[in-house]
Amino acid sequence: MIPLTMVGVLTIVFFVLRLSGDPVYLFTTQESTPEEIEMLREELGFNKPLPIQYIRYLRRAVVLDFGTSLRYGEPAINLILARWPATLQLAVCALLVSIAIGLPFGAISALKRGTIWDTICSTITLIGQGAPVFWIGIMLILIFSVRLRLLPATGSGTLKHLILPSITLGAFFAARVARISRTSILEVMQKKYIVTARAIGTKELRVLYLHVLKNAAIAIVTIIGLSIPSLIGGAVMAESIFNWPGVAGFMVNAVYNRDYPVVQAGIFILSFTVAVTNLVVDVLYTYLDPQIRLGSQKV
Amino acid sequence: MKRTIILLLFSLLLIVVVGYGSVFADGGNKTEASEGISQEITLMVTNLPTSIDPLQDTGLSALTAYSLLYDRLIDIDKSGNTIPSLALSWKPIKPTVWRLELRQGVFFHNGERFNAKTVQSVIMRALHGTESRQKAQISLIKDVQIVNDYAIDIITSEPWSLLPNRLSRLWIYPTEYFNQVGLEGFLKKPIGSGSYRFVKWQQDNYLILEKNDKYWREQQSEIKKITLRHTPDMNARINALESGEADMAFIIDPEQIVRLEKLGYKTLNQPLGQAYIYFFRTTLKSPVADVRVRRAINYAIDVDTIIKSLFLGMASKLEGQPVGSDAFGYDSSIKAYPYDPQMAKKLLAEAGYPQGFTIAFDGTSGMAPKDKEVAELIADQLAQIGIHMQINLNERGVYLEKMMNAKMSPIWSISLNYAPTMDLFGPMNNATSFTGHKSHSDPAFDSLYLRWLAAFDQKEQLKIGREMLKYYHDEALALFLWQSPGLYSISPKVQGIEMNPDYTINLLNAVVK
Amino acid sequence: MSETILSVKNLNVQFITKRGIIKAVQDVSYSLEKGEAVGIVGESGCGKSVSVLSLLRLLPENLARIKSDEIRFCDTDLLHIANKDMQNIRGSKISIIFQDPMASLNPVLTIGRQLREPLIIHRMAKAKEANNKALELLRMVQIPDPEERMNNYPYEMSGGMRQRVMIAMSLICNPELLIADEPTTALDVTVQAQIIDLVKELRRRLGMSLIWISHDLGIIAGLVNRVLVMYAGTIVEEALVDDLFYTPRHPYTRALLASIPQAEGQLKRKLQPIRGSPPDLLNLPRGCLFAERCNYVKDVCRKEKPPIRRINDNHRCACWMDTTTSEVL
Repeated sequence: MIPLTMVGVLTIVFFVLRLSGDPVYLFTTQESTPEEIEMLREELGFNKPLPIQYIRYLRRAVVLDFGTSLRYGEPAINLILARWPATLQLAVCALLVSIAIGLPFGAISALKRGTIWDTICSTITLIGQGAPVFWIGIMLILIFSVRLRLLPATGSGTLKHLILPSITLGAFFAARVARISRTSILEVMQKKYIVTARAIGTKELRVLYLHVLKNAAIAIVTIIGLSIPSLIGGAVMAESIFNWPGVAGFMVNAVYNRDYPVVQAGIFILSFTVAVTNLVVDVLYTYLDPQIRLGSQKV
Repeated sequence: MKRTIILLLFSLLLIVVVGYGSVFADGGNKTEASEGISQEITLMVTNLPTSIDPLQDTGLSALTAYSLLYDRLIDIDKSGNTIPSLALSWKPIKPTVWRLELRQGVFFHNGERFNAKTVQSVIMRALHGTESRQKAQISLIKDVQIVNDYAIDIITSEPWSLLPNRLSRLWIYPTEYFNQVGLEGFLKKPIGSGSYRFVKWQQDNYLILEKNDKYWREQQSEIKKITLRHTPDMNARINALESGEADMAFIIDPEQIVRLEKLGYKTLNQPLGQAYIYFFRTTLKSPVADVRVRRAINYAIDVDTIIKSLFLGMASKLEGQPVGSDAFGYDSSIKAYPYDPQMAKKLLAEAGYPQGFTIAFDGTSGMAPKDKEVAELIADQLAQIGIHMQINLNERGVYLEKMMNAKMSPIWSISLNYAPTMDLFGPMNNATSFTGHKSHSDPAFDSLYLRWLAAFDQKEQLKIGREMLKYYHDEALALFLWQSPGLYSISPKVQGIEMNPDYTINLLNAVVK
Repeated sequence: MSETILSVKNLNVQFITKRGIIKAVQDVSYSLEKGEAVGIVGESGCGKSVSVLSLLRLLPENLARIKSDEIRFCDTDLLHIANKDMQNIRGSKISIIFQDPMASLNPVLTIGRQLREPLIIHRMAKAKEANNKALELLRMVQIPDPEERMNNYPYEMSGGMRQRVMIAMSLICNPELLIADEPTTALDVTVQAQIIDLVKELRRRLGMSLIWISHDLGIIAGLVNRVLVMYAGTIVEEALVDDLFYTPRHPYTRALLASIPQAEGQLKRKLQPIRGSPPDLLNLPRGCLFAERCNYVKDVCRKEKPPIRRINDNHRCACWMDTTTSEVL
C-alpha cells in the first residue's frame, strides 16, 4: 500500500516539475552559465524522451537520490533527513499535548451538554480553533520567556525547549481534537449499550472510560489520523517562531529559495511520513475495533 | 497480556521520540541565559553560511561567521581603504602582475603555518575547484606564482586595478590540511586562522566557536565561547535577546530598537555596504528615458522625511551616488538632490509631462527593510507632482526571474551590494549594458566603465571613478535612497562589539561584564 | 402469605421538553409479590417502558421528572436513595433486559468480559470465579460451546444469541426481580418462543420475580400470573391472566382482545382495529383518556376521570361503565 502511494506521489511531482516549462531551470542558480545549463541538462537527462526520464527518476528516487541542494551543495535527502527527527519529535509531543487538552475538553463538553460547562468548553475550543498558531506561540513566548524567563524562546535540545513549541502546536490542534471528541462521545452516549451498562449498575466514571471512551476512540483516532497533514502544516509556523530546526520550516525556506532538489526530497519524506501515519492509524484501529481485527464473520 | 505488551512497547516508543532531543542533546545548542561571570556570548544572526567552506557561500550574511573563523589577505576600513591582514603589502610590479608580501608567524588553528603555498592553493581552488562559487569574483586572475615563502605574484589576464579590494572575498584556510582530509573532512572539522576556532555546527541552526588564544592579533577580549544562532525571523531574534538567551540580536527594525533601548539594551548602528535605490530603465520606451524626468523624480522625493518616519532617523542617506562614505571612491563633493517639488514639476513640464503620467514599478515585499512601506510613501510623494506609480510587489523568486531576464518595469527597486569589496564595482557594473536586467545601455557610460576597469594607476582610477559618479548623479540613473540599515541590539552586559559595513564582526575588544 | 417485594403508589413521570410537559405516566399504582410474574401490556407509547425505567432511574436526568407517593422495593425506598445506592441495586437486586439485543451490547468488549462485568462491579466474585460463573450462566441460557463464546464479540452472534447473553448478564448476580422490557419484539417468532421458554425455565429454577412488558397479548398469556393494561400513561385494567382474557371489563381491553387476528375460525373475518389514535400526551383531554375511541362512551366519560372500580380481589378496572351490562356505574 505504501509503495503504491509513494509511486503516486513521485509521479505527480514528476509531472508538476515539468508543468512550468523547461525543468532544468529549477536546478540552475543565478550564476549558471549557458554551458553549465547545457551540462546540467545532459546530466539530469532532461534531453531524453519522457518515459526514459520517468524511469531514471523513479530509479533515483528508490535510492533516495533527489539531487544536490542548490543552496547548500549537499545531497538534498541528507539535509531533509537530518531535520526530520526534530519535526517528528515536535509533532508527536504536540499530538500528545493536543490529546491531553482536547480530549478532556471535548468530554466535559459532551457529558455536561447544555450546561454552562458545555458553553465554556465549547467557547474555549472555538477560540482555540480560530487562534492562529503564531499568535498562540508569540503570546506564550511573551509570557514565559520574556516576562517570566522560565522557558527558552528559541532553539532546541533539551526538554525545556520542547515545552513551548509543543504547547503552541498542540493547542492549535487540541481544538480539533476537542470538537471530534465531543461529537463522538455524544454519539456514543446515545447508544443503547450505554443504557445497558447503567442498568447493570456501572458507576458513571466506569461507564465513561470502559464503555463510552473505548467506543468513541475509533472515531477520534480516525479524525486525528486524517488531520496529521494539517499538524505538519502547523509545524511550519511553529518551527519558524521558535526557530525549531525541523523539516517543515526548512522546506518552506527551500521553496522560497527555489531550491528544488530539497523541495523534492522534502515532499517525498513528508508524504512518506503521512503514509506511515495512516498505517499506524490503521493498526491502532484493529486494536480498537474488534470487527476489523477479526474480520466480520457472523455466526 | 498481549495488550499490556503492546501498550508498553508503544509507551517506550513515545518516550524515545520525545526524549530523543534530550537524550541526544548536545550542550552546544542550548540557549541558556549567559551569566555575567562566564565569558560566553550568543549572537542571533539572520543567517549562517550555507557552507562552512568559505569558498562556497558568497552571500553577505555569511561574513559574520567567516570573519570569526578565518582571516583574509586584506581587510577594509570604514572609508573603503584596504588594510593589511594576512597580506602585508601589495603593489603592481607590472600591469598584469601584483606582488603581495605575506605576514609571517601566522599559524592556523591546527598549527599549520600560513605561507605563500597556502595562498596559491586557495586561489587556485577558488578559480578551478568544482564547489567554488568564487570563480566569477576573481575570474581575472590567471595564475599565482610563488616568489618565496612569504611573497607571491598574482598574474591577471588583464590589468586589474581593483584586485586588492577584490581579495577581500577570499578567506584563507590551511591547504595542506585541506588536501589531507579532503572537502568532506574539512566540512566536518573546518580550520582557519581567525580569532575563534570551530567547535561544532549544525547547518541553518547554530555555530559554536571557542577562543583562539594564539591569535596573531592582539585580543583584549576574554570571551571564551561564541554561539551564533541562525534565526531568520526577527521577532525570534528579539525574543531570545529579551529572554536572556542571547546577548546580541542582528538586524532589528527601528521601532524595536527604540523599544529595546528603553529597556536598557544598547544599539549599534552600522549601515551596510549596500545601496537601496530605485533603478530607472532607460532602455525602455517610457517617460523615465528622459533625463529630466529622472531628475524630477529625484527632486520630488523627500528622502529625509522617509528616513525619519519609517526608519526613525536610523538610516544613512545616499548623497546622490550609489555608495556611502564607507566605499573606496566615494566622492564627498557630490550631494543628494534636494527636496524640491517645484523644480520637479518644472522639469516634468519641460519634458512634456505637465500633467504627469502613469508608470509601473516592480518592488519587493519582505526582501528589504520596509520595502513595501517605502514604495507606498514614494508613490504618495510622486503623486504630488502628478506621477502615478503603479506598485507591483514581487515575491523573491519572481523578482529574481524578472531581474535576470530583463523583465523589470521602468522603475524597480534593488539593494545594490558594494560590500564586501567596498568599492564602486557593483554599482557601476549594474549601470552598464553588460547586465541581465538591462536597465541602462549608454555607450558613453560603458566606455567610461571599461576605462575605469583598465585604469592602472590608482590616481587615474579615482579620477575616472569620480567622472562615473558625477555621470551617475547628473544623469540620475537611479532614485538615490539610503544605505541598507544595520541595526543591532546588544545586551548591556556585553561591551566592545564592533560591526563593519560588510557584516564582518570584530570582537577583539569585547568584554562581558 | 406472600410478601410484597415491590410497591408503587401514584407514580407520575413527566418529560420536560421545549414544546411543553409530556405526561408519560400518570398516577400509576401496582405491587408485586415475591415470586410473582406480572405482565404490562399496552400499545406503543402508552408509558409501559417509562414506568419501569423510572423505578431504576434510567431515564435521562435532565428531561424526566419523577414524582411518586412511594416506590418501595423490599425495604428500600427507591425514590429517595442516593445514586450510588441505586447503582448497587441495579444489576444485582433488580435487573432489566431491553428490547433491542443487537444494539444493547458493547461492541468492543468480549461476551465473557461483559458477562463478568456485573459480578465485578458488585464485587461478588474475583476474576477466576467470575469466569466460571459466566460459563455457568451461558450454559443456563442454553448457548452451545460456551467456552468459545466467551471470547466472541457481539457482532459474531445472532440476535437470539445476544438476547440470551443479555438474559445471562441480568441473572448472573441472582437478582430478586427481573424486568423484561419487550425482549422478544425484535426477534423472529421461533426465536421468540425459545426465549420465552427459557425465561419460564429460569424462573422455575431460580424463582425470581418478573415484570414482563409487551404489546403482544399472546406472549403474556402463557407467561405471567397477573396483567396490567396501560393506556396513555394510566392503568386501565388489572386482573389475573385468566380473568383478563375470559372476562375483560375495560372497553380498551375488550377492543384489544377483539383485534387479535384469528389464525383459526372464520377466514373471512375482517380485522377489527381500534378506531382513532391515542391522545396527545402534551395536551391530555379532560375526562377519560380513552373516551374518543370507546365503544361504550357516555357524557360523563368526557367530563370526569373514571374511578378505579374493584371487580374482585384481583380484578380492577378504571371505567364509568359496566361493559357487561352497558350501564353507567
